[in-house]
Amino acid sequence: MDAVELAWIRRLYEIGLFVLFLVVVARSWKRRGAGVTSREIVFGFLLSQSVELLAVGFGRYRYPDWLLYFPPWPAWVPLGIGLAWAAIVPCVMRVSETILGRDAPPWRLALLDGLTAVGIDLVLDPAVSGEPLRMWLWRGEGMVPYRFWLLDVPVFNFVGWVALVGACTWQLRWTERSKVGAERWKWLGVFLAADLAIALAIMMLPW
Amino acid sequence: MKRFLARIDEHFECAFLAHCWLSGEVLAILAGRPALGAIGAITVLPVLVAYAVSVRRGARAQQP
Repeated sequence: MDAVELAWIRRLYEIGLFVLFLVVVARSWKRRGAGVTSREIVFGFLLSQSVELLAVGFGRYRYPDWLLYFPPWPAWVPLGIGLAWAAIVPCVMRVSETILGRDAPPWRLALLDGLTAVGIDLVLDPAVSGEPLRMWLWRGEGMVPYRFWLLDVPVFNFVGWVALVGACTWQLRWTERSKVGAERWKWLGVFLAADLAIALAIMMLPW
Repeated sequence: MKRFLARIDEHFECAFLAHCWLSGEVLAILAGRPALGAIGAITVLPVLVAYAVSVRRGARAQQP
């Protein structure tokens, strides 16, 4: 495959992420309402984009040559990444609730959410990271060298996926069940700060 | 076609995960690493099967 074909694939992949995000949001808005949809999507996006910014800032990986980054400066993390992450969250939650039942213990639902999400990442990450697609890079100049790898992807990434998605979905369910109105947003803000601190601690481990 | 789309809508989230898996398969082939596609059969397919079984059980439970 030549450079032009690879560039097309990369562009289509990025545009596809935006389309998928819009479809997920529209459907959730219609089926479940604006309130819960906005909480799930906004929290998922803010959490993922913030963690990604931290990780890229600390040289854990990088995203070369995307169309749109958010924030635009520094151009570290593509907007599509945070949106895709935000779209995955409600989908794994609904699937887990169908499999285990909505009244299953929250920790079990969160664990299944995390495992389902990392199952998807195990399919996508090895295929699109590194050569030839280079959607994101785990190795390179100025980047932290990893010791533990699986399918050419650092194990740190997969552990992070399970932990972060599980924490995110547990927190969203707890907020929906325990709190009402503006209190929900306040608690999501608290959880966001806690998650970022935990993500930073995980990143600092000797992976 | 209408029935198919209605089923997709009814089980949208499951269809979304299946789409992620299939996209990964296609991208793995395009990246020249088709063997990677087999990973989805281990990591995603069991979830899809568990979902289908749960839906079936739920439908049966509702039958008179």
